[in-house]
Amino acid sequence: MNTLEDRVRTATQAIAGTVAPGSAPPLRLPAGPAPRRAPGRIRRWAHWLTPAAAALAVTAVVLGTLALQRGQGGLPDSPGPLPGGLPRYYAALVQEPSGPWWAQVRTTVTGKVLATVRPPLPYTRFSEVAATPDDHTFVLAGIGPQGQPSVTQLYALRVNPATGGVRLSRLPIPLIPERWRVNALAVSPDGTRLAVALEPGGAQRPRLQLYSMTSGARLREWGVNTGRPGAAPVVGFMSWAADGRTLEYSYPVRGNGAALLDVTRPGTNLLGNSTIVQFPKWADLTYNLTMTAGGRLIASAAYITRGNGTVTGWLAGEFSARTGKAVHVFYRRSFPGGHPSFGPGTVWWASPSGRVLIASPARHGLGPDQAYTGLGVFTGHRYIPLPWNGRIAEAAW
Amino acid sequence: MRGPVAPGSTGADSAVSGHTDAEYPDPGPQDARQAVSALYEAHAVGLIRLAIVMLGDRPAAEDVVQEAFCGLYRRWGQLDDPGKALGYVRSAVLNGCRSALRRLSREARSAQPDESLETSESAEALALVNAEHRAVLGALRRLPARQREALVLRFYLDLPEPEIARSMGVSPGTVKSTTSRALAALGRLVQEVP
Repeated sequence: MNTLEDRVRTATQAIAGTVAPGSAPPLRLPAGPAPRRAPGRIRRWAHWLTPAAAALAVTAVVLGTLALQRGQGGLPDSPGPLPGGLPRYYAALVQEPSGPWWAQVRTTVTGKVLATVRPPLPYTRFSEVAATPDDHTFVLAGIGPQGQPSVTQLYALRVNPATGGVRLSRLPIPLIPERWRVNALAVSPDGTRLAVALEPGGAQRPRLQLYSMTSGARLREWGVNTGRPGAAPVVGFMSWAADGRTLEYSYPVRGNGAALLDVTRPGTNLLGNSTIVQFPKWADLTYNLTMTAGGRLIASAAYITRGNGTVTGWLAGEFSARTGKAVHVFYRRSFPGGHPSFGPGTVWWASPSGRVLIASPARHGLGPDQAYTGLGVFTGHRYIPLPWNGRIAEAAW
Repeated sequence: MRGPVAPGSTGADSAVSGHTDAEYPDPGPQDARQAVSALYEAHAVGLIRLAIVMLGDRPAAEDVVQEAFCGLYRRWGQLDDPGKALGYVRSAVLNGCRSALRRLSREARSAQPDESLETSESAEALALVNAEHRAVLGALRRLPARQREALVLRFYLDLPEPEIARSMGVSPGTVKSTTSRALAALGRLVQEVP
């Protein structure tokens, strides 16, 4: 019989062996510089400061948490990581009362508007936004000119973490011609490629294109090769796995599902090159997905429906990318008897492990154009509200 | 910035604020970034394994390791000897595991029945090992964090007592007594596991 020590050895090695070589997610270091400090030992008297510093740190954490829970900020906006690896900034598309959509750069914790950005003429509004992995650069789609067949120009919007200033510059990607609408954008984890989902305006079928962010060259293109032109469903949101080869796209395949496209596989058939993920019938997830960087699971916010479509609650959770089944629920709220005017929210950002989410739990109505009810961070089983503006139509972290 | 975003962009538009590329200096000490990234490449899997042994939960283990390396990066300039970086980050992983265990314990106590339909990742990981291992790991999870840590460092990492003491921030004598008590408790718990 093995000794207890041997049993501990073999058991711990067995569970450690479930972590395959090479399976570590990519390291996400803070974007800012590492603090510089002259090497050398800390002076002896400085050790007396440790208890006081610890007390101050505890006080700061408590105050910061309280402020965060009140949605009034309190966490630093200066360069440096936020708790849980939350990105510091996000870009939002804000619908002005007069119609056009401007872009705003905001801080995640306080919601403070760093800049409001209008597209340069002849473009008249922004229609889509995506974040890059560095947490302070975004991609925007500007459309125009007004009163004529619209074309789309893609831009990079950069935030200077040191000053909070922003700068808009054209990407070298060719203009998206008229008759095509950019429906979704997603930047690859290494920041070098941009996936663009295109919705046709005429007798065309949806397309998904992959561009080099540096040269603007079109690298790949996939299309829907079956079905009646003009009647095929369009791609909604997209997100990348950390491997840079799996692109999740929201596509109402077989009702309540999504698809994972292997961008390295040869061929141009979008669905043929994709693995379909079928979700449980009780949750409408199709347009409310994001993929964790690990690519194993899909994190999602959803509303729960019964047979008649009544909304009975919402949740934020992870779903298996293989089976579509719920494997972890972060937060769940039920509405006994149903809630007739509650629409599905969305997950805007997920930490590499999927355990920390930035999400809008719900919309004020069932239509896709209804405003989101709010914004918050899901961590553990807690929901921490963040400042939100009801005029925000789209956002990207 | 983790990757090039658009170095080829034209930069011709000035609709925003007139800032120039000069305002976007090099992000700073690439040596620290490169050194920490290289250390991560070499040791991330081993440290995730250590964390999953401690936590039994892959996503939580990855988060702890990620945080530990971010902490190392932030404090890189304060390291007397970069050769000690691995020891530093291993201690940070263990500290992170302790914090995570405390948090998980609090969450388990406060979880509402409504929130409990999930099958956790830890269950998925445990499903990959056999019943004997599950029994031992289940008992290990019920030990206090310090006792669990002592056993993991001693029997999983095979560290000598002085190094365990350094990692745990205690004396070698405390390591001996903690390990002894942990083994005794584990023996009792393993007996209880059906």
